[in-house]
Amino acid sequence: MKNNVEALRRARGLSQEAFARALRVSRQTVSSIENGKYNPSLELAFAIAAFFELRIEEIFAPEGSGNNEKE
Amino acid sequence: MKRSNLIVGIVYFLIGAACLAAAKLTETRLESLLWGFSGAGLCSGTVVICRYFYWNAPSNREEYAERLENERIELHDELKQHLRDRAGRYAYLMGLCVSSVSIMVFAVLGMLELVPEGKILMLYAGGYMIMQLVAGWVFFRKLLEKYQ
Repeated sequence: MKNNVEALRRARGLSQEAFARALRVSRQTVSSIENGKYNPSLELAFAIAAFFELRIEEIFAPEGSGNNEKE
Repeated sequence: MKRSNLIVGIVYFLIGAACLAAAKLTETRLESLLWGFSGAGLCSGTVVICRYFYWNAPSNREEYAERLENERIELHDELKQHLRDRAGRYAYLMGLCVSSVSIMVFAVLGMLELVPEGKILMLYAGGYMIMQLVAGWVFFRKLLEKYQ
């Protein structure tokens, strides 16, 4: 999956740390999502979408296989 | 910090003190073990009791709440849970490899009479490997049942 989480976060002037705290996940999780190494669970994807007040498909888009983690 | 932490600290300390007294007052083969238990009990009990009073001081409460929140995030963080699961899988596979290699090594060493208890060690490694395989299969079946 590709996503524009980093762009959205930066547009709101948030650090990874602050964004992670708002989502109640670790900074490493945010970092992994942003650089496309980890695809979040549906629950977290919904939380991210709710945080940015957008729909999931406006943030995440399919890129290939649906595995949770890139090889 | 919860009061139960203080109670746990006191219990550790008392167990350590009891082991210390037993090590000092009796002469047994377990003396060295008792010294070890007393050190572990007294030290960890003291640390837990000190931490309880430190974190319950009014000036440290806010920092403690933050630490608790960070610990909770670290524990339930989905990426880290996923990685812990993967690490467990690798450890399981490694355990299987080590135990199967150990069986062969102990069999050879036993036959060459280089290890006096080679057969026992071989049986132990074999039992351990079977236990791992059976436990892996049983847990998988149980988990699968939950998702059906």
